[in-house]
Amino acid sequence: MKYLSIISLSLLVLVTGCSKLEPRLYSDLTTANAYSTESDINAALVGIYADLNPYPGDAWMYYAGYLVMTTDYTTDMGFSTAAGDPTKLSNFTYDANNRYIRYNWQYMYNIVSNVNLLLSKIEGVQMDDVKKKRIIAQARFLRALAYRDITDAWGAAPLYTTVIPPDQTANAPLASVAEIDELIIEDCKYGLDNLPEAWDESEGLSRATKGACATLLGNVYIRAHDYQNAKTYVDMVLAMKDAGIYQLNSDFKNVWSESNKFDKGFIFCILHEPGMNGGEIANHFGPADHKEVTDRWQYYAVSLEFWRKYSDQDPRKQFFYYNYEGASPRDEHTTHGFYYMVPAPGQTTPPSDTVKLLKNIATKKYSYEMVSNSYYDGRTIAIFRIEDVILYKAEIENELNGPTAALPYINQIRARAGAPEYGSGGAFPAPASKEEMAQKILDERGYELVFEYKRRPDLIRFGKYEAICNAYLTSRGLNPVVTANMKYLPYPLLDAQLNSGMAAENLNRVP
Amino acid sequence: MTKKAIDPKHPPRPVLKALMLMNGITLFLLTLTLHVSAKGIAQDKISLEANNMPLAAALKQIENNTFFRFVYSSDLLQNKTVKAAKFKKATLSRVMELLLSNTMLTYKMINDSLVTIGEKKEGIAYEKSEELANIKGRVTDEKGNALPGVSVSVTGSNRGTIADENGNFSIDANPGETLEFSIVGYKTYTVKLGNETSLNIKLEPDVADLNSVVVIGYGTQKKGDLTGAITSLKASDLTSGGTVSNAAQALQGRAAGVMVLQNSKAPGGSMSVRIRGANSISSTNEPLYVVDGFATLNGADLNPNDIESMEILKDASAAAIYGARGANGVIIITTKRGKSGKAQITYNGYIGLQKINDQFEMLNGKQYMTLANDLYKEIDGQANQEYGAYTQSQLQSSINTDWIKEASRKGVVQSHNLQVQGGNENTKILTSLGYFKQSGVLKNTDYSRISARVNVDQKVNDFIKSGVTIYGQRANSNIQDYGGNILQSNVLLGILTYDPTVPVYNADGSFGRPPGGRGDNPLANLVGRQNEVVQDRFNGNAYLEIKPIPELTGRVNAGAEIAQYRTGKYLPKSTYQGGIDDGVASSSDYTSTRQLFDATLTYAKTLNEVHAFSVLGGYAYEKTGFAFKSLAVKGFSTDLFSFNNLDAASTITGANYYKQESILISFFGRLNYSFNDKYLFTFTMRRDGSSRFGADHRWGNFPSGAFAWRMDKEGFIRNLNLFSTLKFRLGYGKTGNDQIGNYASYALMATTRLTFDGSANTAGTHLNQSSPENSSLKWETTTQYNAGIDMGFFNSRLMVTVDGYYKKTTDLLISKSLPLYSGFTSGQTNLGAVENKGIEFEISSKNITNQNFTWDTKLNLAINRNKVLDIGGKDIYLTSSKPMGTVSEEQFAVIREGQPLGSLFGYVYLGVLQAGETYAPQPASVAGDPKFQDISGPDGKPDGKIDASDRTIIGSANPKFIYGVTNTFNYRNFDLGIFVHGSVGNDLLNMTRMNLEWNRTTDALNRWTPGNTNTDIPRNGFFYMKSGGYINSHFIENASFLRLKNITLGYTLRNVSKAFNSIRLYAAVENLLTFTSYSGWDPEVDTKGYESGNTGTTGAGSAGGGQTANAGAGMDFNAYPAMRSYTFGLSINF
Repeated sequence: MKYLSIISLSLLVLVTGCSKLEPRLYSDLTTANAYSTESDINAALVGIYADLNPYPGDAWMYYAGYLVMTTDYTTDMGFSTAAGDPTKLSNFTYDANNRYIRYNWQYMYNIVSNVNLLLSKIEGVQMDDVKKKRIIAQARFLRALAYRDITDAWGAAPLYTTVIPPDQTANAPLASVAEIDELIIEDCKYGLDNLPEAWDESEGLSRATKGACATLLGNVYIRAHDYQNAKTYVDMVLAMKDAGIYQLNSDFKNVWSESNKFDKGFIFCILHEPGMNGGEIANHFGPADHKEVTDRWQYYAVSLEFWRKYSDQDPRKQFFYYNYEGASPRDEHTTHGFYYMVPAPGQTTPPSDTVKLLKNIATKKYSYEMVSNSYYDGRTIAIFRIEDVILYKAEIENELNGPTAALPYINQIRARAGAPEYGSGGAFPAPASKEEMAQKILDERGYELVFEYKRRPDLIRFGKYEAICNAYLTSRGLNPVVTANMKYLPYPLLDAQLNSGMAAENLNRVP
Repeated sequence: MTKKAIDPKHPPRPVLKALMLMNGITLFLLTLTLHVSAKGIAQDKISLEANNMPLAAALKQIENNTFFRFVYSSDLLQNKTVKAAKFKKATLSRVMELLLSNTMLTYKMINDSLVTIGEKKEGIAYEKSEELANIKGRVTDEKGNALPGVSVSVTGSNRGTIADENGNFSIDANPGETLEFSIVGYKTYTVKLGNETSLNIKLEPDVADLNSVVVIGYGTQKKGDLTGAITSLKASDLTSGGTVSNAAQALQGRAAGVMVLQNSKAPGGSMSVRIRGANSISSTNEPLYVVDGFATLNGADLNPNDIESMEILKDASAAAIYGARGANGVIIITTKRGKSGKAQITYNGYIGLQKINDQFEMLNGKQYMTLANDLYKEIDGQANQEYGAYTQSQLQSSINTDWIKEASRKGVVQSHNLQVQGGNENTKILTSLGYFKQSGVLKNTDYSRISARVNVDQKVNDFIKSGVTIYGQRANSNIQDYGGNILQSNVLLGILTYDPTVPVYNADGSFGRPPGGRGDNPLANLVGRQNEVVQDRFNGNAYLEIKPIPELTGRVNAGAEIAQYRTGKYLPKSTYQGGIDDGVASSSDYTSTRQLFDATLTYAKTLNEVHAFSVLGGYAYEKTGFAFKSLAVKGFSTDLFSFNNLDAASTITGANYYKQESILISFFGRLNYSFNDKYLFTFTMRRDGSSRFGADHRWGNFPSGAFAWRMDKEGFIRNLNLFSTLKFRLGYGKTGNDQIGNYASYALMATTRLTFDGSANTAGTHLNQSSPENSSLKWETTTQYNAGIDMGFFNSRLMVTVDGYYKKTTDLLISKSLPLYSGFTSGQTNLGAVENKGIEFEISSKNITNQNFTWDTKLNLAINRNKVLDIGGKDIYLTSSKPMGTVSEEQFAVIREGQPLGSLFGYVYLGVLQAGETYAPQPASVAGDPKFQDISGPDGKPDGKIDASDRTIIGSANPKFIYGVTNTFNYRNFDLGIFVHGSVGNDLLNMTRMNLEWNRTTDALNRWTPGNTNTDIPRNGFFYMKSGGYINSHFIENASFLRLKNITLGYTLRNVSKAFNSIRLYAAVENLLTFTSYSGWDPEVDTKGYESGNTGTTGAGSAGGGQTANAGAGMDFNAYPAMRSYTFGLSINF
């Protein structure tokens, strides 16, 4: 027994020396140590910007492309042949379980939570006050942008401005659009006070600016049909244009060249480089079976009905892939490709067996002047550009002062594109009434801003969502199922399962 | 001595009978005149003090304090007492001389530690008479392997001998006399002699052998003394035939309550093992493997030929000594070790052919095109569109590619193993080399493994023993990605769904694609892509055992396990992405290191013969860490480098390195007490600390207790004359689980990067969306009750074990869904409870035991019922980005209170809407659309609408019971094994069919059309209409099966030449027959189990677990095809 006690004792000594359980973190940061220094805060801000374009290296979520499914496919603009969720969006047969509805929502709120976390930590960090305010202002702008996107798509939504432990978020109340607008406005005004008009190139081209904040302010006011306030901020941006901060690119096509990373037309955008931070835009938007732009998927393409609305005299109509001979041989007996033709309205049979009727039409926007044919691209995606603001100006002027006041602004966009100006005679008379002008501005926004995440909010803002979408469905031989309640999408099923308010609301929102 | 008259015409045939022993102890009677030579005595020294102590007690005390084990008949020792004995470090011979003085007993060393005691027949002079013939012969085990050390005696005489190392013996005996053969572990065998002068005797193992030693946690115990529910499997149960490539496969169907599933039939595919159901929702349910004392999660892919025994600790009282990690049960693997004596060399090898079981009836090219055009018109709004998919010219095409045929081939599997066992009294060595290679039935999928093992045991002196185990293996595989939802990342999706009118290769040799088709054809994905995984594993551990005094044993174990997984991928220019990016390569290294140290002290003593105590105390420290690095590049001038020269690429597209660690510290103790060898008690206590939990919740206590009653020792049971053995067991215990992320309690950040200028990148950080902080994260605990009974009947020819258990797991580690608007997708938390209860039966029966013919049957059957008791009231849904890439991540399974894990979830399909019929809940539906049942609305009542609230549980992945039956026949030199296993009452969600039925298989021709209304297949599948893509009961199938898993016929040649002891040849067929109504490739499949196990960082046999794998079992989607194997094998014993 003596041995036993000696050995036990020595074991005990050994053991007390070896009972430390604190694991070492080598490659991980925690929220406790990730926001300590100025450099940490800068990195956290970069992280939020990156959330606009999630998944570096495999980027197609949110503003990298995915958003187009909820903003443009749930309208007359986009048409998908892909079975399942894409078809259900373009046919208005979606339900709350649609993946596009879910992921866009998820990434928008991802920005909100990261901004709130940054804001909760930054006060404790020692750094220059101006720099600190600039970081806060950028973060708040990004939160405002995310909330604009949330309210555009879903209307009322949970509103968070501080860090809330996630397990206390079930059944969060839905704040009204007006309440959320207050936050957006407050955030953007903070940005106006604290952000520069342009960033020094060493600090990065694509950061949020005063102009971006003003544009977003104009956007939310015009959405609320508060044209007076909208005018204030839209004019602010146009003043910056007059001051040379913004400028229309002389050729509308050049905006979309892959080598045009950033020009003075961009107010807020996301950039890519094809190595470590490539986009998949060219892949998803580019044409299938084309000789010059090869190996693209044509995942996102416009409907025939929408493309047909362009005037033949509008050069932007040609900024699509249509009526061309494909690259792949038709069959084993030939080296020629199919001829891809836009069918005439009502045409249901190809004219010959070497022709295929196009079902949708790919835009050249995101595959124009490819720098390389690689899988990942270095293209820029615009969130706000000056053309958008000029058309807001037209819209505001039309509402406040009538069609004549709006005319120069709409024509400015048409002229730059090379399309006949309204009032230039012939088939393009100047719109005589406010209503007529409103329709022209709405159309013009479509022609100019196609697949720039604008169509759905535009249709809703102009009060034409149901009418235009139902007309579109009817022209495709489908039932006009769009109702007023459908201007807002159903909340994602995953969240509706955890939030009874959303579940109740969803009952009215699905076709 | 009477001589019997012999009728030369009718010599009495040797009476063939197996001797079965009433008292359950192997009677081992030796009648020896031979004197014990001191040479054979082991060096262990004995200390003993006895005064008027029964001889049996004295022997027991020696057993407790030394390595010596005694075998004797208890009758022999009755009324024998040791008057006065006092030894200190005495040799065995001195002790035995005194103990056996004044008795008519003598003893004999059988090997280093085994001592037999028998009657001494001194004084009766044995004279060789003229009539005595010399009988020569050989004793073998049931497999025909030499059995050295068997005692051979002539009943009623004092003649006896011991078989030599080759099993040969020579003895003088008269015809008519009876020879008796006995050795511990085997049934005693008697034969009445006729005229023969040579005998070949085969002994069969004594399954009821309660003296055989079973490995338990941190020690061993005699089988008869066990108090817990433990199934013990020997080498012969594991590798008798067939293409068993790893330890987990060898277990399949062999042990009650152990469910083994090969998640994918792909070469090197991961295995999942469930002992008594799934306890845990989000962390792994794989058992802990302890290989030669070394705890590892990677025990499942060991070379099965290295295994001597596997012990499966099923109940908490057995597993609780492993505390924190015992909740899923423990599989203790003991590898073969060296033996003293002449070296033995064994070769085992086989080669087999594998053939795909293809049962899909695919549409041919023309049918496919016509159908595609028809389906195009069936899409809403496209009724008049002609040639929407294929033009007239394309319809003339005669290309008809059978992608399954193009992608598959005859698989070849081969295995070679060479083992050398040898040594002397002090040093014993085993070396083992193994090679396994499988070329899969899909092209460019293969797996090979080379493994080597050296086990050395060294006796330093009388007090100290030590040993090392060194194991290394390298597995090479060419794998494919079977988990993704787009063609590039899921070759089987491509193989099953790709356009049959596309040729594999174009005339110019490039891979075919339909005009405008995205990505590659499946052959390009299968053979164009290189995807190599090299898995290295090295394990070295050493022990030191010290016995300073006889009662006390101290043991220290230390070791390290290093596992490395290296992957290399390359997409050459002939593939789609490789083509546009000029070659895409990546390489990654994952290295995990596990360091382990444990120390135990065992004190054993028997008081007054009746109170036997054994106390164990121990400490263990384990540190596990891993590091991962990877580099991805593109832009090569040539394909020649593949992924071997990343420097040659123009562009780096990704670089990654990270590192993590975790620590587990444990204190544990065990007390075994037995009273009179009749009432057995075990108590264990373990205290574990894991670094993975919140700072204040790291430590957990895991106690257990068990009681067993050896009822066969009670007179009233013996008097029943029914049971040859009977034991009743009761156990209770708590075990834990910490298998979650290393830093699960922290709020972690993720890194990202961004370009602000379109050329340079800036580093950023943001929240990791799945790891919000949870500083109160703590142990998941399983409390288990077990009651069991072990019964032997008919002299132990029939052995039955029945166990019933109830398990409740609380504080479940759950990855709880969070509202996405919280900024998080999910968070790790402790929540709720799950229960498992069940009954297990293990039956083994010797149906026929004959000298020339034997028939044994082993049957196991297990019933388990799983139920989620509490998850905080909210369902948890499991999603899969299936069945088509463009369809939402459908929820296909639910975790719901009151329901089992593995509850498949969806709409109830009512059939096809007929023309003229209206179905109010689906007002927009037209004829040919699927109808779903209106089950519920937001208020819990049918609301006249079909939406998400109409989904319900439509199937269960849980079988009502699973079973395995092994029948073994031996006839002379032939052996035949037939292994059948099955599962009854489980469902599978056949997502593969969901993807094929509407446009790929001939089923599509039977879809609803105005001219074909009597069908349950809707028009145009489930994908284009509003309710398209809904998971529904139409695709739930009963997956019960009965499978003739293995049938092996062997022939053994003995004494072929001086070089060989024996040669066994065998032929085996696997999966010869499967009886099932399941329409897919294979009813034994678990897609989610495979996906989570095939991350590239885990190897075969280490299914990753995770919530989706645990609760999402029961899905079949693009499974690797099942195959039938024909194997020819050879075992040679030199």
